[in-house]
Amino acid sequence: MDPGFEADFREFVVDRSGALFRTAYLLTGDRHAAEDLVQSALAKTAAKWRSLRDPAAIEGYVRRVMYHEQVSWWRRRSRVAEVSTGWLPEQIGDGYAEMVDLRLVMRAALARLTPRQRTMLVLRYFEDLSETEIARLLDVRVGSVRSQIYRSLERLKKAAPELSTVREFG
Amino acid sequence: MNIEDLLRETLSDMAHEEQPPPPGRFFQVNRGRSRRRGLALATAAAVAVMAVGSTLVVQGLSSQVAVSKDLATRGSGETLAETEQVRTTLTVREGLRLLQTLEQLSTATGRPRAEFERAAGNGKALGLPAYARGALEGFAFPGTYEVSPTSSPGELLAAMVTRFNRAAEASDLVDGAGRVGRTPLEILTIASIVQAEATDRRDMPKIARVIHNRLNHKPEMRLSMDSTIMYGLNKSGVTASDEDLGSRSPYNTYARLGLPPGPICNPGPDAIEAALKPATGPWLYFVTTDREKGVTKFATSESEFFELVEEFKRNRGTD
Repeated sequence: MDPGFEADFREFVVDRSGALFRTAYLLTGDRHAAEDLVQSALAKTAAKWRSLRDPAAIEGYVRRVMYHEQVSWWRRRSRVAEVSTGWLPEQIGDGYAEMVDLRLVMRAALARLTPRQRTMLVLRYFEDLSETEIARLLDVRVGSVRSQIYRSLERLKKAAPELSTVREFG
Repeated sequence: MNIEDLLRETLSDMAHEEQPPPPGRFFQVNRGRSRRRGLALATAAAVAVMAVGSTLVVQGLSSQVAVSKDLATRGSGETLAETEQVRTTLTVREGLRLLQTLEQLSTATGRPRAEFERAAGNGKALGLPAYARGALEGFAFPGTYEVSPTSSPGELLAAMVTRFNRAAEASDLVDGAGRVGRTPLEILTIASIVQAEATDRRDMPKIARVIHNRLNHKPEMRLSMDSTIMYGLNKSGVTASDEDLGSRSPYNTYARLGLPPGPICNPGPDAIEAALKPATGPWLYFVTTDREKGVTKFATSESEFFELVEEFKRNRGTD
């Protein structure tokens, strides 16, 4: 790695590690696991840096590594990390408390999904990727993404019956 | 709202509840792989200023990973040349409460506050003096601290206690307390009240005198300090409302005799010095008549005190 690469890489990490960490945190639900995931994806990217001269490709590559690693990492492990629900809102307004309750329920329900399902939901509803893009990233068929997401949403509703009250806030 | 929108909002909330670690943390990827010469991925300073109410400033972030001389001089811009000297410094203001201090350490380091709370609860590991009775409040000494991305909450807090212990030694806290008939913890408690009440450090010795005079007064006299009530209620500010005065906490010095159970903030050296060596005078009252200009006036009799209260009300524009 020559200084040019090194400087590019450094700049990339300074600019983007925050965003990568946020996605990793959503994928893992755990701060330390998130840091490890980002770190490991960056290490793998650094090793391939020479073949990634297109700066626009770098983030895509890191993220791809992250998503794959998350899914396979989970496959190798049976333990499921708890999602912290210790978070509390700072201001409480009209109807705000109810919304917060719903979100906490939602988080607990998310924690009960499989890593693959959770990853797809994060890509679809946090990263705002299309089903086609998700399929390409995870090397699966579009139909599979569509059905997995549909099933995950159903599972979220079922796992958290409280969500049926969601319409009242519409 | 449908479930998809709720999911979007939940994920967005979650994504922002944890502060990302400083980028420097991620530059340690190649540590230990010495076979590739000069590969250490040293980072330049990622300057982040997180001034929350101007109480804490982070001047720079960097990794501790060494950059090879070779690489630094071949140069890929100024930033690389700076790598060797950049570091993070935190300035913790005098008079912060422990909770505020932990909050700001958390903001500055990107670690959750809970980690600092856990570390703060382990008084023994932090090197607290025995008279602290295991509680960190009052002993997290204000000042500027250097922080590396790898410093743990326990290390940071222990550094603050070390600084306190040094300051306590310099001001001869333990013996000095004995000379004015107080325990070291009482002196630190007085110092914390002085710190919280003073708007100008030049008034500190006189405010300390008022506290000593009240504690020693015959017949007994209550301290009646708003700052202690507000601490007990975990409310900000130093002016208690009528309702606050009814607080049943042990920090309500309007209701209870003597000092509160412990320090109400982390005082700086001036306040500690004032508590040990108060000014000489008969004062029993003080009123900050003009908070904006930082004017505090002292009184010996109750009637003088009421005059000062009137002056305060006039300045505040209310009656």
